[in-house]
Amino acid sequence: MRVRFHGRGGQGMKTASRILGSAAFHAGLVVQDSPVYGAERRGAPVAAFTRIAKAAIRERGLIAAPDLIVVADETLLFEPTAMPLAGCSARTVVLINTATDAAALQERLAHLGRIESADFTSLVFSITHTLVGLSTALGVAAAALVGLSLEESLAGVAEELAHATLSRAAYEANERLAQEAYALADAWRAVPEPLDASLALAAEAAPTALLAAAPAGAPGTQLVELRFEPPARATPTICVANTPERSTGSWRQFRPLLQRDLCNACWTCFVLCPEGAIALDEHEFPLIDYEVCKGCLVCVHECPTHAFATEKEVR
Amino acid sequence: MSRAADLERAAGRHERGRLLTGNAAAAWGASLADVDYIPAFPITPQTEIIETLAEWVADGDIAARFVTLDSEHSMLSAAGAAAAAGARVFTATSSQGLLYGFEMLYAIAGWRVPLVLVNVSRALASPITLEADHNDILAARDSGFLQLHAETCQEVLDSVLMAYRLAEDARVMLPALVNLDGFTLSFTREPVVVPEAAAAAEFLPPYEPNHAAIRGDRPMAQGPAVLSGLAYSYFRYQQQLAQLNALEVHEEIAAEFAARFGRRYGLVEPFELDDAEYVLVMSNAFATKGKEAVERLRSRGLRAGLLRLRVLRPFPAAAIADALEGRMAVAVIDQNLAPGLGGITYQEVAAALYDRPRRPPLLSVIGGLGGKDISDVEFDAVFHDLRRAAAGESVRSPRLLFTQAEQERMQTLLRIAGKGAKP
Ligand code: SF4
Ligand code: SF4
Repeated sequence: MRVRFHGRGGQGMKTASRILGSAAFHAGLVVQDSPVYGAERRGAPVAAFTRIAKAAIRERGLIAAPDLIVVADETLLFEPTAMPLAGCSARTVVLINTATDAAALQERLAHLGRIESADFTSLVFSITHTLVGLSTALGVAAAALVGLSLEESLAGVAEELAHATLSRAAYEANERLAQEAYALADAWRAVPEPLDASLALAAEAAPTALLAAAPAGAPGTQLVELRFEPPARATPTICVANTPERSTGSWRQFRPLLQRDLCNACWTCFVLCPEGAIALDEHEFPLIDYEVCKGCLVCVHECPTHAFATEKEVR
Repeated sequence: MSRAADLERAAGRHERGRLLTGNAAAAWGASLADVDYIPAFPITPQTEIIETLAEWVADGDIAARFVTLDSEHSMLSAAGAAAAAGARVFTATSSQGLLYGFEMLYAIAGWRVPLVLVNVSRALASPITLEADHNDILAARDSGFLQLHAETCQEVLDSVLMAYRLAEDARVMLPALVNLDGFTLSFTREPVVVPEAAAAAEFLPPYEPNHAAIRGDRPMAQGPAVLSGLAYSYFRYQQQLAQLNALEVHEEIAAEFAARFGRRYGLVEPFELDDAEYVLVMSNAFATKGKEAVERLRSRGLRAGLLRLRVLRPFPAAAIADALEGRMAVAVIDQNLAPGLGGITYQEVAAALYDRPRRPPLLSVIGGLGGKDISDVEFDAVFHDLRRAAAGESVRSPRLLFTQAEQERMQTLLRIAGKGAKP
């Protein structure tokens, strides 16, 4: 079974992939899990991979053709650098954390397989009263979808939470969250077994991998010869003012809103915004460019007068 | 997590091992080697190794001195000096860090002190990236360090233990580098069996040097100026002879390791080679992908095989030539690039085969630079080239693995970087 998690830096998808991995390992299966997160930039798209098998796993690195895709944040679906649905087939199940219902999403997305969705963010918030816990909810939901038991899933959570120092109350809330997320996902049909036996979990799977790779000549798969290009193109420079090409506004889950009457124009937010999304208006008060603001909320936390409110983005 | 908790949770499931990252496996290797001194400096994707060891030292789980230094150059200087004072030394770095400390690699090898340095491979800047290729570790190939390259997290742990035995053997007495790939091993968890401390201690007895150990009651000058080509030639060539000894010593150690722990590691690893006609030569974590490709091609009726390079220094030329001689065609996939030349290990494999009468057509393939994936279709293309080469057709070599879709993606990235439309 191959599971690929997509989220944004800070949403805990590495932990989700490990919760699933530890749960499967607890169930006696062989596991390989790994994240890719580039420069660890908060809000940037990240991915994590969990492979589960009955025997040694002869694969490495990214999962190109997943059986289950977990998307922690629906804004990623339309993000050109994330491409969470790459490698989907009609057999792939896509689990999306969103308040939009699955049927509506299915219409908007060019995805052949089954989409399941639920508003895990609200579930997390209702139980833990924070946004911490999405990793537990989605890790456990993935475990339910690939056919692991509640007991195995909880063992996976316990294993991963051993790394965190949680208060007793927080630990218990997290366990309740895991149980509810499991119940939610357990109601859905399980992810179908992969066609190649090497990563199948069912007992009756065929003994050898007879599947060919992507058919020769499939679009984009043929090798090309790189040619010399002039240095004006082939040096790794980035021309300034390319921000409109790579807008980070779509990363935002929460929008900082300035309450001007509380602001004393100290410029702390202006200096600390990691994206340079805050300019100063003609009265030298901060002015946020929402095309660029990625929603990290550094400004909200650092403002000495608590002049920012936050608002959940609805897209 | 504390080591006591880790051990407790691992109790009762020793045969299956536990899920460890490559970095955690390296830390376990150092711990089981009962090291005395750990000089440290952080760099992605290596940092987790020294963080783990720092925690274990702070918790009193391992009796070592942990010291943070101001750079990799200082770190390696401290490592070499401590080893010269008779300590068993462990340290780790990656990529730019290895290059920043580079001067000291040659110095330490010349001191003949057998410390172990783990390198977590990461492509070298520029441009900057974080994932693996092997230009960092291969830059150190002429330094005099021994080099062991690991394919799995288990092999990382085992290789650290074996590296100490090899390095500290009186017939060798050279420092060793153990390589693992950034991300594909360093941050990847898979099942690892951690040997019992007592069994590890029996395999690797305490380090008791008498050749280069500086003590208060036995002052000596280490690494002095000789100011003569005569003396320099003598000492430098001793490193060559010690490296050659290591070929035989490694096989002794590997046999003992296999007898004790049940896992066998050769200088090279043959995979499906017995009747193989078309052979890939690879190293490190992506060799796993190569093995999968071999099995896939075999299920389609092609006699495919793979030779994994494990010990790169000393270079096991005879073992490699024995394994490749007489094949229909061989492709060396280098996850590195020497601009102006091509793949680095290709040159060495070609040299190993040069005086063999039945040397096969040998193709050079560059793949996985900067951690780029090597997909099934790319492996298929390599095997296609091998069949053409065996049929006497001329095949482009070296060849870069790069697909049409990747080419198109690159054009998009260039546009986003403000390079305008393709000229
Ligand atoms: S404006 Fe605030 S929330 Fe937006 S990117 Fe800047 S610091 Fe982060
Ligand atoms: S940090 Fe707060 S008070 Fe200071 S300028 Fe920003 S919003 Fe105003």
